Amino acid sequence: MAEPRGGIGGEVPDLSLWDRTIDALVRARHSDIWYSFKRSPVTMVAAAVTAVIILSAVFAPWVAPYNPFDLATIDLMDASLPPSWMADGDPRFLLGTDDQGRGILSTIIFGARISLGVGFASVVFALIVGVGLGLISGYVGGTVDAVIMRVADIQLSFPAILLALLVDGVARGVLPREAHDELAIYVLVFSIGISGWVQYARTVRGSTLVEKNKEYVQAARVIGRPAILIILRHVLPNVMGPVMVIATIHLALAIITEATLSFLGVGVSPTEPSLGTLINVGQDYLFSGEWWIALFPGAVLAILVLAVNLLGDWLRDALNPKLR
Amino acid sequence: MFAFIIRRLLQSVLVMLTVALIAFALFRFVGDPINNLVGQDTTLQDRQQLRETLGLNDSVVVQYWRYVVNTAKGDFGYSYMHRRPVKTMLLERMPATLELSIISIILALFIGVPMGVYTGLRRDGFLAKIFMSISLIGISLPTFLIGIMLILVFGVMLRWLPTFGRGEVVAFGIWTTGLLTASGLKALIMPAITLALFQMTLIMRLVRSEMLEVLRTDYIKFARARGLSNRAVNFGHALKNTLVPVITITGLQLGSVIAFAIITESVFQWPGMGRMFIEAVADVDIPVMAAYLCLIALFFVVINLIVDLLYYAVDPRLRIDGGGSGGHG
Amino acid sequence: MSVRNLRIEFPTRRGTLVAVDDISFDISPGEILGVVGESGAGKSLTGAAIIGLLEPPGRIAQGEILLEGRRIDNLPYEQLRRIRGRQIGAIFQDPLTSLNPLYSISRQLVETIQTHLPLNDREARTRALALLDEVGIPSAGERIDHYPHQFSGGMRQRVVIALALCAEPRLIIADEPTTALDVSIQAQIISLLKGLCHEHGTAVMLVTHDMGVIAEAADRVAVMYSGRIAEIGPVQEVIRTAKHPYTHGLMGSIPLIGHHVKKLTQIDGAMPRLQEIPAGCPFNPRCEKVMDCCRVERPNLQTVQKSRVACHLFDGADGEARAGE
Repeated sequence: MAEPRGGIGGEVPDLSLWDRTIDALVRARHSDIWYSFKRSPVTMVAAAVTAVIILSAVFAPWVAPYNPFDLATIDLMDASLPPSWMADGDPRFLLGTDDQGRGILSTIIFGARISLGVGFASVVFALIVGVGLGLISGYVGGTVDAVIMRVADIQLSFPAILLALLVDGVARGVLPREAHDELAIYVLVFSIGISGWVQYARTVRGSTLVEKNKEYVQAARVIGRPAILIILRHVLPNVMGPVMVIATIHLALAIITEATLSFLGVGVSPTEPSLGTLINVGQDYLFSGEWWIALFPGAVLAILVLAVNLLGDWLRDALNPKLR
Repeated sequence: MFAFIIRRLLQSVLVMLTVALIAFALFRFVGDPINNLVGQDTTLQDRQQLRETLGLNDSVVVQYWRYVVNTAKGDFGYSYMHRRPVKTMLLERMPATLELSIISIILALFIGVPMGVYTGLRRDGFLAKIFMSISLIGISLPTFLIGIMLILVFGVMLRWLPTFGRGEVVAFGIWTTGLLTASGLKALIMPAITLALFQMTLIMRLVRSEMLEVLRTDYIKFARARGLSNRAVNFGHALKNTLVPVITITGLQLGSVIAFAIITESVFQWPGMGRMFIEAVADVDIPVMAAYLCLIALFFVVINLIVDLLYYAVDPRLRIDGGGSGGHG
Repeated sequence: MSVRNLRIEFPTRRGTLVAVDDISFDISPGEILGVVGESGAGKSLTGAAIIGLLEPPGRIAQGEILLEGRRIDNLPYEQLRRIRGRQIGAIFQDPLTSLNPLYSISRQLVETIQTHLPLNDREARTRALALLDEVGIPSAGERIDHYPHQFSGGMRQRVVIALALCAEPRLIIADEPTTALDVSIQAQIISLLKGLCHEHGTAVMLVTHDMGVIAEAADRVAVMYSGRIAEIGPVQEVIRTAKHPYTHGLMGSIPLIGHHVKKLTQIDGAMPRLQEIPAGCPFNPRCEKVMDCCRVERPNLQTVQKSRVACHLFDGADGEARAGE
């Protein structure tokens, strides 16, 4: 199926990577994946929940009742109101307000925006680094391969959270203090991304090793076409499935890691709180009975991660029925 | 077997040297060590003097070697923030973290393994499915969130358990333990559960899938065909064969338990090394970060060695073949 | 041991598959019954059903299995377990994977012996040693405490046989006992099995796809096709004067020493999959002598000489005449 339709002679233009990918997706739509999706109510609910959270995060300025960062709309008189259904609740604030009078629902929607943004960016970063290193490792082989895989092994035995913390600590030491707050998000994306590339690299490397020795690659080499391009064209569509699975599960993990770092106070700056920051702030108010400040962001975080994990689980089973 | 241990030891030393190199690089190149030690008003001359006495003008290789030797002796220098020897700080904090971690891993093993075996044997059972669903939630919930929920329910609402600290501790020389006082034990409950929960679900899922794998094998079918009792087949033959991967993962997890203790300690204000590390990251207290890194690496290396030795105890194939599959890189 | 009208079904989402359909046979003490057929013909399933280890969702839908006159297919699990190993032993295909790699041979033997016989540790070990001797393991005294990976494939199969014989069962189900072994070792294992059974008066159901093994070891042979018995009879008669066209084809596909055959024949096509078994005789699409009735009516086993054959060629009084060729 993956024969070079474009031909080695180069007369007919090669199908571009995107065409192939779309091909694969179209085929998938008519295949078992779509079927198994429609047959699994849990997966459909998970997909719906994920979609709702992602959409409201993306369109936060329009969806959220208030902009929690707009000082004009914030009134300290509204501080620490309980959810609207409780005795002292205010109908304007469905889930209550925090200590500064910001609506919890609004901060959650804007917080999810940051959490998801950092999560997606970290996954993309890890994916690019991992797929790149995997290709190089598998294609070049030899010492390069040995070094990359050795590093991967060592890193894999280290918990991601520890690595992310170290990178963050180093960044704080290297960057001037003012710059750090501004760059906090980028540092965060880098540290979470760099702690997750290994899985991608291993998968892609394996697939590259398989393709590398196939005849058409050898033939391309003989007539002097850069074999790496051919490999790219054939390996990438083949590893799309596994990489998607890894990326989905990694997304859940990245969101957790971001939340944890922010909770620990070394993540995003408190001026632009993510879900983790919100929980961190809210934790102090648990003892004074204002449980809603921490609980609602926590619940949204848990539901989001659970939904993404369920999607990942389903995708893995659908793509690889043997695992069942 | 002896050759195998020697080889593993050499590998471990190599890993430690690499980690020490990273720690050294952190210490030497992230920020200026002098600026962090002295005040603004110190003269240039004094700085030069200090630079010379600290050996910061020597070649990098010499400095690295000195760092390695000092680290091996347990001398990690002075904390920038607290102006105290890092070694003393670590020693004060270590018992709290180790107690918490070990209790948690024991908890995770003693609940996780039986649950894994059960869900593996009754894969379509009602209770098994409930366990599996709970475990998925357990994996999805961030550690700190579990801690906060426990605090909310048992600390704030029910007021059964203390929400922070270690309670009363008893000191034995440099070791302090909270296991011998009622308040210490009470204080340990929530942090230990928080830390154990994720590992427990992981171990349970691992044991389950290994169990399913092993139950499909020919030797299990043959054992049944010989009329051995279910007990002998499931708990003798099958369980023992699932042990090898369980040992590996549990060993590796012990490392992450110590790392995840950072979070748990932060939530419960547990006076351990993890909390010290977090404070060091926030304050850019490089010597403390470097020391923590070396110490964690040492834990990992030692645990890995123990895991390898346990393999030998469990699997006769390794014992007699002389470690042929023990890892020729 | 008798199997009566056994039917094994696999309920699936797309309907029930019948893997074994209405088969009956007997094995008397000391006799070796060969069961031969292509993979998927239902021969291994029949063996699994007899020792009560059909894997779900497979189930016995009909028929009964009798051991020394007692019905055993409907016994509760625990009672059936006591029969397994005690009265019915089993030998599986691959000796490399049949032994638990983490336990020594002695431990596996002693465990099995003590499950069925009231012996203490020392007596059980003595019996284990005797068994290893009997199955021809050299210097058994030294090797008894070794682990499976320290034995060669042939030796492991001997250990497996010893394990099956632990409690002197009345019947042994040997499922492809030689398939995974080298040809030179196959013959040794077969003659060992044959010798042991004749000595102890143990009945054997020898499941294989290898006619050579059948010819070597079996007293009688049952040929299975698509979950049904096509032909069953004394091994010499089935080999020399095969009656069912399928058996005939099978025999044509093995080279026999001393017979000058110009060309080995081969049966065209493949056995139908379980969900596509045709009406009438399941062999009809591939049969050279197919008749109209073969496509409609399912043939029953009928006695021809000393064999029983399920084929319309032998219908009626003049059946034998028509088949003659």
